[in-house]
Amino acid sequence: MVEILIAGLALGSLYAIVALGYTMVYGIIELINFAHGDVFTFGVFVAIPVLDRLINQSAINISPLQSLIGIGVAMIVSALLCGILGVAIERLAYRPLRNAPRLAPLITAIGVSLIIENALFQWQGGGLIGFPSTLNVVQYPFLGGATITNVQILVIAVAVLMMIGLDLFVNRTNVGKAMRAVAQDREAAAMMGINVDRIISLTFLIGSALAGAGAVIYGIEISEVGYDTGFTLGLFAFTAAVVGGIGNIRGAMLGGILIGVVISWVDNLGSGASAGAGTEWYDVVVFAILVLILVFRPAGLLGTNTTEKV
Amino acid sequence: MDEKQPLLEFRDVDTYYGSLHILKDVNYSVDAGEIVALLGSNGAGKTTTMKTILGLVRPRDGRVIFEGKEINGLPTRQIVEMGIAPVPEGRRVFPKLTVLDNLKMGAWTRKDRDIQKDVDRVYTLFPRLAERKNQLAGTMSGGEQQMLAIGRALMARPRLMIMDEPSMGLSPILTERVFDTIVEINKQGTTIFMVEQNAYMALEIASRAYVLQTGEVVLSGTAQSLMESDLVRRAYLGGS
Ligand SMILES: Nc1ncnc2c1ncn2[C@@H]1O[C@H](COP(=O)(O)OP(=O)(O)OP(=O)(O)O)[C@@H](O)[C@H]1O
Ligand SMILES: [Mg+2]
Repeated sequence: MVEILIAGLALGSLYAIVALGYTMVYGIIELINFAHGDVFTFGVFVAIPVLDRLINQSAINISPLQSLIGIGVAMIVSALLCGILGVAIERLAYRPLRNAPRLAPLITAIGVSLIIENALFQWQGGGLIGFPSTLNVVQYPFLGGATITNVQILVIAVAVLMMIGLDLFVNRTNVGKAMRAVAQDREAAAMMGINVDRIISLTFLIGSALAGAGAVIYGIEISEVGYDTGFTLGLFAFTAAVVGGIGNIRGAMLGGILIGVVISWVDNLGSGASAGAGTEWYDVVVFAILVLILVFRPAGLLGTNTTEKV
Repeated sequence: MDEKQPLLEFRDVDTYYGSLHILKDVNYSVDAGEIVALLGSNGAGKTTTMKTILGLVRPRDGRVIFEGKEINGLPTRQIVEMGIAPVPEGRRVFPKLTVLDNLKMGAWTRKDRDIQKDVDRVYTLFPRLAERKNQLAGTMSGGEQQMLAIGRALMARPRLMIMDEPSMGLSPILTERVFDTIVEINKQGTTIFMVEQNAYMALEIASRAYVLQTGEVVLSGTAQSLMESDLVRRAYLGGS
């Protein structure tokens, strides 16, 4: 039971990190950024050469220091490049359509997603690629006879730190407040002298950078990636954002964790006679949750229905 | 006769929404230190005037001049940075930010971050805001939101405050309070250009006024002269 929870938390924090990108962008320009999952995949792929260089793959024992530095640098590089990609996408594809009917940017987002996916396919091929081994997996005893691995600790710790950081930024800093102001009333924010374009760029930068950093810990945890990894993951992450209440940052965190835990639980249902039967049920269960939420709490767990028009 | 240049000037401004001609060859002039009122019935183009000042609507013809500089064509952000702060129609406070955070957003363009004095000044003008400083703006009453919108504009220490129907939705007592506050703000050195439906009260505190009818300035002059004009008495003061 505890193990299911730990595995769920580790998976769920990844969904949460990616869900944040969807929810932040939706919150500020009411666009479902379909390309976000592909930005994530890009993040996984750019981390690979960095890790290959910094961590001696042939060593039987990778020194913890080398692991830490390698992972840290890979996360920074990946976050930076994903951030730049996210900002470029907004600037080139979405901004020119800011005042167009809503269907136009939505279709554009799907197009951008396809472009990136195909570019990744050209670059890395269609098969699954092994992620470099970055650390020696160690198991520690945990509550009630369960175990927790250092990878799980790393994933959860990094994700939690990023979420706390984002939460503090958005709620405590002036720029974070300006970001929320733009999300709530863009024209009024402009009337305060806030540079709306720059705030929107910043939103894409942060959302994409989080995905980039998350991509590295995804690689470490899941260890195999393909050109469409982000598509599947993005679908669940987006569902997490909707479940939590799209546009709501804490909602995305909650939704991500929830879906991670549920998937981890489904994963274990099949044990025994029909071991391994879990995977095929992921989609069914996740989208069943989505439907239930949409029926009973359309605004999501933490979302509010109230229109903000005065 | 008067040599000094006005703080704000419209010179033959024409604005359109698509093919709809809204402001027609409009001229205004607001001197530093004045309270100037803009009267007119629904749809006359008063809000359009305010939006034109802020660069949210661009004139197709004519010029908007602030402190001698042409501002039509500049982005809103830059216009606001030059010292113009709006109290927009419908208040437009940020509903999910606290009262205090709304005030902070008003001070966004300030280079100095020393805004505590201004927060205190707003709290002195509107003690209610001090009591509610941690409340989300969206949960405040309409009147309280109006106070917040005015306070937020003050935070920028603007040279010109443009107000679009500050008395909208306020009780008579509160309207009186808000107008007293406007006079006080003006005495403290802020020039005010104000749209009002409540013509009587506006003319009481204004030095001059313009009357806008379907996009044209049909009358302008001192508040006193307008108060006595037949047109204003008939259309806006309910007199006979
Ligand atoms: N975005 C828009 N697109 C098209 N027409 C508009 C737009 N905004 C305003 N109008 C029209 O322009 C005219 C002037 O509108 P404006 O908002 O300036 O009036 P107003 O004087 O502020 O009226 P009120 O007293 O009702 O606030 C109206 O006829 C209105 O219908
Ligand atoms: Mg109006």
